[in-house]
Amino acid sequence: MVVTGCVPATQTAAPAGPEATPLPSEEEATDTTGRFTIQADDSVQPVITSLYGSLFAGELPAFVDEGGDLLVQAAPEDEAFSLEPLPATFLPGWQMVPQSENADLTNFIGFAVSPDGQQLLIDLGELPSSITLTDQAGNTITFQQPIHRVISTYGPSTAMVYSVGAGGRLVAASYLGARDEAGAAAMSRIDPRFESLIGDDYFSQDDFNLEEAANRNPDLIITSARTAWLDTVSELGVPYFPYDAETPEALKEAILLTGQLFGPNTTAQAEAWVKYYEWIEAAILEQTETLTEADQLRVLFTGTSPLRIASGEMIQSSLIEIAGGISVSADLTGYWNDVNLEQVAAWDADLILVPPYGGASVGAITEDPDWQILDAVQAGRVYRMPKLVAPWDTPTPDTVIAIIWLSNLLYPDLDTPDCGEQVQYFYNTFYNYDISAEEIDSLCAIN
Amino acid sequence: MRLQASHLNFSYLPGQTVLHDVSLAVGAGETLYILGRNGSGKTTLLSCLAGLLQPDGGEVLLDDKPIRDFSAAERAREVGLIPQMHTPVFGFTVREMVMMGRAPHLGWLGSPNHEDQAIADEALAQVGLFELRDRPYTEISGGEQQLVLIARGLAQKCRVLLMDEPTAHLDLSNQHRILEIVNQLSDRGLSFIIASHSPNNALSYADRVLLMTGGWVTAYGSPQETLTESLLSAVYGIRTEVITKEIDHVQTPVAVITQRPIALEPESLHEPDSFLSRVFSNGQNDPQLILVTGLSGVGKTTWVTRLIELARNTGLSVSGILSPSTFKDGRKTGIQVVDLATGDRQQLAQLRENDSAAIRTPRWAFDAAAMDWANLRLAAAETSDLLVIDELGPVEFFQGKGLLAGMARLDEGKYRVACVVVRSALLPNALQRWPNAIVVNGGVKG
Amino acid sequence: MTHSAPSTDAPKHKHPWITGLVIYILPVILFGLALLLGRYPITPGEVGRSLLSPFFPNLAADIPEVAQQLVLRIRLPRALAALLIGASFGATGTAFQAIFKNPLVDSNILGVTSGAGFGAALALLLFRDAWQVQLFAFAFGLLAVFLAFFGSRLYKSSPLLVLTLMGILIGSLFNSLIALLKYLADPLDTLPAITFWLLGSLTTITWTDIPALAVIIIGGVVFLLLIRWRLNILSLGDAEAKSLGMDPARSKLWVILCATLMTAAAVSVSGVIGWVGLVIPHAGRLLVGPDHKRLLPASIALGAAFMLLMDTVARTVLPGEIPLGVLTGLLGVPILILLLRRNRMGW
Repeated sequence: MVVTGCVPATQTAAPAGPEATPLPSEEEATDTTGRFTIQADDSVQPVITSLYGSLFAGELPAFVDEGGDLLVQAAPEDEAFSLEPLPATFLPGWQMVPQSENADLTNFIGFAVSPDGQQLLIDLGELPSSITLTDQAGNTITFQQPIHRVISTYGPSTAMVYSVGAGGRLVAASYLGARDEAGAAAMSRIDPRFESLIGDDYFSQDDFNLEEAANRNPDLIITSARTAWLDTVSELGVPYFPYDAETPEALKEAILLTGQLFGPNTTAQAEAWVKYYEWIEAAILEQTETLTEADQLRVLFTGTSPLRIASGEMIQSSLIEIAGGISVSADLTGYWNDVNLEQVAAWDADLILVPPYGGASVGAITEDPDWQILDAVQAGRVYRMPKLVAPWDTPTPDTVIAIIWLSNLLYPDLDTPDCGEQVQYFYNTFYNYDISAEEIDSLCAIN
Repeated sequence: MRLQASHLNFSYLPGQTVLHDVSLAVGAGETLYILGRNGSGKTTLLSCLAGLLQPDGGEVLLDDKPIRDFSAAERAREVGLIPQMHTPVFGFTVREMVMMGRAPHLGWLGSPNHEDQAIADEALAQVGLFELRDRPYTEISGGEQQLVLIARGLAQKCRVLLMDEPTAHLDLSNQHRILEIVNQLSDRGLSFIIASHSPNNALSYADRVLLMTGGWVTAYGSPQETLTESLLSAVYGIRTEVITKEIDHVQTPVAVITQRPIALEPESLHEPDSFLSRVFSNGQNDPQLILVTGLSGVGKTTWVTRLIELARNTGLSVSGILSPSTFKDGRKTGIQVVDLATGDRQQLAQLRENDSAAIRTPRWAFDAAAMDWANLRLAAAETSDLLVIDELGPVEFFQGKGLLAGMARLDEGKYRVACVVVRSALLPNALQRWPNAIVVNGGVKG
Repeated sequence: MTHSAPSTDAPKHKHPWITGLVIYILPVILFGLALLLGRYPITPGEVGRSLLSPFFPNLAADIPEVAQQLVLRIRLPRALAALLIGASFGATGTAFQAIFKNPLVDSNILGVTSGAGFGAALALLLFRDAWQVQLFAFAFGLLAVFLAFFGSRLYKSSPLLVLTLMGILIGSLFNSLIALLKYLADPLDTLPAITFWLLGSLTTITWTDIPALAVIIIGGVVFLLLIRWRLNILSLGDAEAKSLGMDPARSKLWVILCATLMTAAAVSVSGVIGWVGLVIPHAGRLLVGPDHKRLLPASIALGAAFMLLMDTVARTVLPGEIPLGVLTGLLGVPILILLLRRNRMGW
């Protein structure tokens, strides 16, 4: 994790971390030159010393009172969201904020939030050795900490693992939107291990090779709640965690749970995503609440074939409404619905969206002579939802920028957050991916 | 009109010939009956005659033209076939059924018009079923269904009607109703070839009869020539008597199957002029064969043993073979063989050691030497008053093994009175071999 | 015996011509209804003027363009397709029941629907275009029947029974292959498409589908109508048909060929729609009796009417299309049970 920039040291509250035990070696340590200087509250200095000694083979850290290269501080409480880089939360409520560029410093921060760092903190009694979570189906499950090796068999949950900063712990994964060439290429840029992680598709939602899974020696398997083989995998003796994220609320819950699985830093990053989502939602609402119902655009979200329509229970419908539009198919229930063209005509949408997967294309609609009876088609108002890897209209962290893109598309005159800026911030922050200007352009261009 | 078959041969599968060299002819107004046991080839013969099956050898001629040169429709305008009665799946009305007889007179795309309907109604009137014309065929009685099919043949305007067991499953009055209508139609010049199981119907109605056995023609000719006691007995494998009875002042031949097995007590041998004592006195001139039959365990051997004792008491000489069972703990464990002339006995068979229902090997282990010994004794025995063979089983009848000397002796008639034990299932085979045998129920009362 | 003697058993239906009139008017009424009803509100006047607008363009002057186009481009071809497909199922179901001497078989007895389903699933997996799906469905429907028919020729005995068995076997084989394709299909994309196709729908019908469908089905219907009386004789079995001067093997081959082409054409545009070919002939027999002279035309009309009704329900009741195969099953089974209970004429 590359953490750069500066967070103002607004230490306001007493450290929330557990009481630290002084280490016996502290008295003997005399070398204070160090690799970088650390400015930390007394209460966390013993923990820092342990981490430092573990990473740098018994060396002692150089603590300073002011102007340290690394600032260790208690997390500010109830801070309003701002588009800043995320600090490293190595203990609940305690952050590491680098104040200068230094390779050792970067390593140190990475170690502090790594599974090995977590293990050291558990040994020190600073972190619990196990956590108990309630999954979305209401089951209570206890997990040993830290989790080193995880298999994700559900595309959306893989994206969630990346977005909370735990992508490095994947040992095998199923991806959403990485089947096509562009998606696979982008995923390889985000995580060079992608090709090896995807393996031979032993671990998809439909198929699950138990013995292959056992071979990867996982600490945790995360799946969809709709998976068929849950009973079999429990035979493996490996805990599994099922996901269900078809609504925005369920998605937030799923991301927060994902964060909690992997320790304090991922928990903080998951919370940051939720804050970001709510900030975006509020920023758009501020602009769109002035619209009368007549001004609101009617949007139809089609599926892998033009007459397959997203129901009101699907996240696509929610995206449209959060972006200030009206989902014309909100009355449909269930999953994708097959309808007839007459029904589409009756809905009379101002704008039609097609998804970025399954061979769906704008041309399938605009080039069909029968669809020309629709005003939206005649006006050329048919658009394809973008994607980098995970399609933006699926229950993944990327959904948050779908809302921005859609609000830009629907209401270009309103002052909603800018697609380009937000895409850059989102992939930098939540995928740790330095997205290029070309990629931003292709994602945000209205096509 | 003349339908003629000459030297027909037919097989469904290579090497399994169903018809052997069958020849027959039927002229206008003639009725030919085909009689024979089940599986003797009657239905196949009808199919060949109707041109539905092509014979492998020989020819069917219609007015001296080979029937295979006729088109299907041409053939159907001359020859009609009424198959064994079956109920069609769909409930066509009687008139619709009869109308189908018009098919060979209509083009492939044609369907019957008013004229055809008039012909169908006329045909229905002829068999007396006009009133039933709108009833579903599936809901009328079996006899009426048969009449509908005859009416269909009439609507077909064919000149020969082949019928496969038209009176099967019908009660007496319905049989009569159909046969009378057939008779009247034949008087008007329609020819019939009827496969039947009833010699009496043939005796009453046939102009000619074809008797078949296993695909071969046993006899062909007038009913008087063919339906004789010996031919009927041979064809059906059961002793049949043809008696003449005066019915309505007409001497009418009737075939009767004598009841057997008869109940006979061995003790009646002592009664003078009883059936049994007459058998023994007849045996002095003409060999008399008594088959003792019955289901397994009814006491056939006991019956024979009592007869032997009584015969010996009367001073009659007895020879032959008896095979009593030996028992241990109420379970049959072995079979012995006794030479009745000398009283010598040997162990013939023993229960196998590991006898259990699960093992499919024969339960009995036979001693070949004892069998040879028994055969020698049977062959060598002097002609006595009573020759006993207990028993002849499937081994003798089907495999050509076992007490073959006994079989040979019976075939040659080298006995005065023979008493042979045969289980019920083999009785038809025994009677086919020795048709004139007296069949006695081997059950012992009390 | 006189011919003028009154029938002792009155015909089942007092006014057969009324029954006949109702049977043949029903599809006409339902065709009109199918054009009038839809999710998009269009008044009957607008529908009427839209229909005439190709001939009198000024009639449609004050009708919304969308309404006119919906009537002409969507409702009209779809109603025509329902009419043709229903007629096809009615005719082929009746013909198959006759030649198989079995009132419990339907158009799928020789596996045509299963074969078509496999062809469609394969095309959906390999390509995306509608015409390829139809072509594959049609071709594999024919292939299934071809396999069943020539497979049965390998056995000498009881050809009808072997043919039925072969049809069932080939049908099962293709159903297994469909299951395999579904297993291989992308669950987000191809699988729903396959599933929806297998449930049957006329959603995607356009004018381009109509000409081929019409030629095959009308041709087949005309052929079956011409030989319909011979179906009576074929239903008695081979021996009797032969003795009545027919060549049952060749006649049945023609009927099977014709019915297979019709069913394959219908199924390739509609997807799998069951029960119609089974239920309609029973309804027809109840109304006009088993004589195919009257039964076949009645089944054609009833099949067309039934399918028009089902499709109108499927596309109007809910915003989402109700799969036709589901509707025909849900309605077909109770109707069949009712008919079997009422029917005391044999079949």
